[in-house]
Amino acid sequence: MDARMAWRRIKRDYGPYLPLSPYLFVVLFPFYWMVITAFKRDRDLYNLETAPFWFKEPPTLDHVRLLLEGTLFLKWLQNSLMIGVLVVIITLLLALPAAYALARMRFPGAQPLSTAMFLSYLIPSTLLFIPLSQVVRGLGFIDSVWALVIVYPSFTLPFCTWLLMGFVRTVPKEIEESAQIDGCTRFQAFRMIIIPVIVPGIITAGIFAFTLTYQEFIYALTFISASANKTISYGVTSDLVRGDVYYWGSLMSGALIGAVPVAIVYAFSLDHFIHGLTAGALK
Amino acid sequence: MPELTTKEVNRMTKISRRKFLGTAAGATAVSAFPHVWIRPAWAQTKEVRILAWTHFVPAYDKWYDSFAEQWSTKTGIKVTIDHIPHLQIPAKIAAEVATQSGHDIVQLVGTGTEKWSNALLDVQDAADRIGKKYGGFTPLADNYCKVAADGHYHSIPDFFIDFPGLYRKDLWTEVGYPNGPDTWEDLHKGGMKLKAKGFPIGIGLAHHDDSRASWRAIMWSYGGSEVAKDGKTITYNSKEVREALKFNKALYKDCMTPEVLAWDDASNNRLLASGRGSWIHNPISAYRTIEGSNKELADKIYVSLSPKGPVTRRSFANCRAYGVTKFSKNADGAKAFLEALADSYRDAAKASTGYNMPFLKNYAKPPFPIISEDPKLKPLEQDAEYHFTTGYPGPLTPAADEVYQQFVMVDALAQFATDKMDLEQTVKWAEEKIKAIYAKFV
Repeated sequence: MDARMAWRRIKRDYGPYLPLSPYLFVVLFPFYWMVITAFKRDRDLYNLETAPFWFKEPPTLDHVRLLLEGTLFLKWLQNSLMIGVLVVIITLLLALPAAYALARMRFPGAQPLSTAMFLSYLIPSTLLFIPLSQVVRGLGFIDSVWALVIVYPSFTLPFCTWLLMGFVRTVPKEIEESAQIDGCTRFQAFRMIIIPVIVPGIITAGIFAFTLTYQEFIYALTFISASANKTISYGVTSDLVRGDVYYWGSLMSGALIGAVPVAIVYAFSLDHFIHGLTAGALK
Repeated sequence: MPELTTKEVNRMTKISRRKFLGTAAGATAVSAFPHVWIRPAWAQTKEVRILAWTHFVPAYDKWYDSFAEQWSTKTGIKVTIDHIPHLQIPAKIAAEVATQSGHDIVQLVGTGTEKWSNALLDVQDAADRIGKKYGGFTPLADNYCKVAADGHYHSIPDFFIDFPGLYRKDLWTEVGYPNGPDTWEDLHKGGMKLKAKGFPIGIGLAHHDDSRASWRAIMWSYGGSEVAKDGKTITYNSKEVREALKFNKALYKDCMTPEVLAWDDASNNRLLASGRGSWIHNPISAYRTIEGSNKELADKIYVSLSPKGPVTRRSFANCRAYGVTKFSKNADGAKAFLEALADSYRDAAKASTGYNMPFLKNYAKPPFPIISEDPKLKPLEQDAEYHFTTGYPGPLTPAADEVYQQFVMVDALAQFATDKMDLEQTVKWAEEKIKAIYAKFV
């Protein structure tokens, strides 16, 4: 009887997690691999005679040391964060009014324009980097982090505008109209009614813009040369892949430390994802 | 009114997050602004900016940077070297050529002089000065740096990366080859036995540099080639190429595992480092890395010449040269720097731990720095004699480069080796591809 009760309790408490476990394995395994490789000695890493999923030899901090002392990793991290924050600000400042206009205002060509905007997101950066490099050069930003600050919105803006359009459309028009009846101008209604209601959307767009920027490689490679101006995704691969020699431990350490800011951003915004989108509007 | 109060309360509760994010963003922007906005000093001073690969030996880059610093002190010309991975250099050069701005000197990795010749200065004068001092350049250097249109050097040769054999002496001794395989046939015979013992050999058969280098080495050693000496006549459809293809298929099936079909440049290094590989075709970088991480295993690894074929011994040279860009604001300074670099070849070779192989005839004779002092590496003294590059026996034309970049030969062999095509289909398929590429450049 006790065994049956215990089994029931296990089923009740842990059963719901069962369907989740394959997903967790797929999502978490790369992080697990990253962590153990970051601290594994090279000889241990290449040893095929032992189980690759744990340490045979004692862990080492050599790879982290090489990353922090042998490269400009902290500078790259600082550059990536700064560029990410600035791009998010620029993206939101431009995408919010654009999304509102495309979603709410009736003007000729609004629909094709919004489709075209989204399609522009689908053009790969490998095709755009050469024409964009002429723009960057024209602005005098070659080999400066400002090059990335102005170029990255070219792919964050279309996506975020499209995303925010969806959020704006879900806000009942009546709320906005009520505000206008109460004396608000359209801009005031946008600022005081729409924006507070779509905060989860704004945060989602911000996070997408940040992560897209943070992981970008080809533009950073094209527009940046000096080591001190590199971003984390470019710097780590440029300094830790030498010819046919990959510094796996340090590469994984870089990826691990680099993932922390993104994790923090997500952690800060998690509750907004959980909140119902229109909950505030219906109150 | 109570609704308004609730909203206000909500806003009050959100203010800390907003304040946090706003403050963080503001602080980042404010702290970063002066740092990134100030233009670098090179804008105002005489400078030579160099785009170079990240050398596989970190100590070489340190030597290179300090050499540049010393030269800078002597000449008053500031030198900035930007190191990036070799695979990313072509994209970088493409962007700089499109904008007609960027580095004064660009390193051409594997190929490039012909391809970028319109954007590179004729540097024959500097090449002549260097050649005069050191007995002239080797034919390989001519092949890599001369542009067919005017017969002039449009880049200054720096060094080439060789492809010798790296073998496990303990294992090859067991199968009767204590000095490693000297011919491709030896490699096949010994490799079969070693694979059976669980120690396969490894040559990549995928889209990466080493694959297109190693399989060309075999084809040339069998007397085959993609193109004739004139650089125009396609010679792939030949008895020699067929023989090479048949041998390659046997080598793949008998001595390797299918994992080579998914390899990258680092994979054969990993095979050797794992202790499971018995032979790889690779520069000494694989050996040097193991030396640093597993001394016991490194002691068992020896270096031999790239194997000989039934016709001759040929191997592939992955070349490095420097072009001076037409948009350089300091072309004379750039040439002077490259001349000084050529003067310091022996120091450079030493810093590279014997990796950088010479292009200048006087440097291509023993004693070599590092190589001649280490009995294990001594076979590399002969490398300059039998290493050739893309397009051999013809010049490295843009067409030859495109065949190389499109992995035509690797794809042909992969399809044949994995039984997707028979021999005649393979030859026909590759010949058509090569002809179509060459036709574009007529």
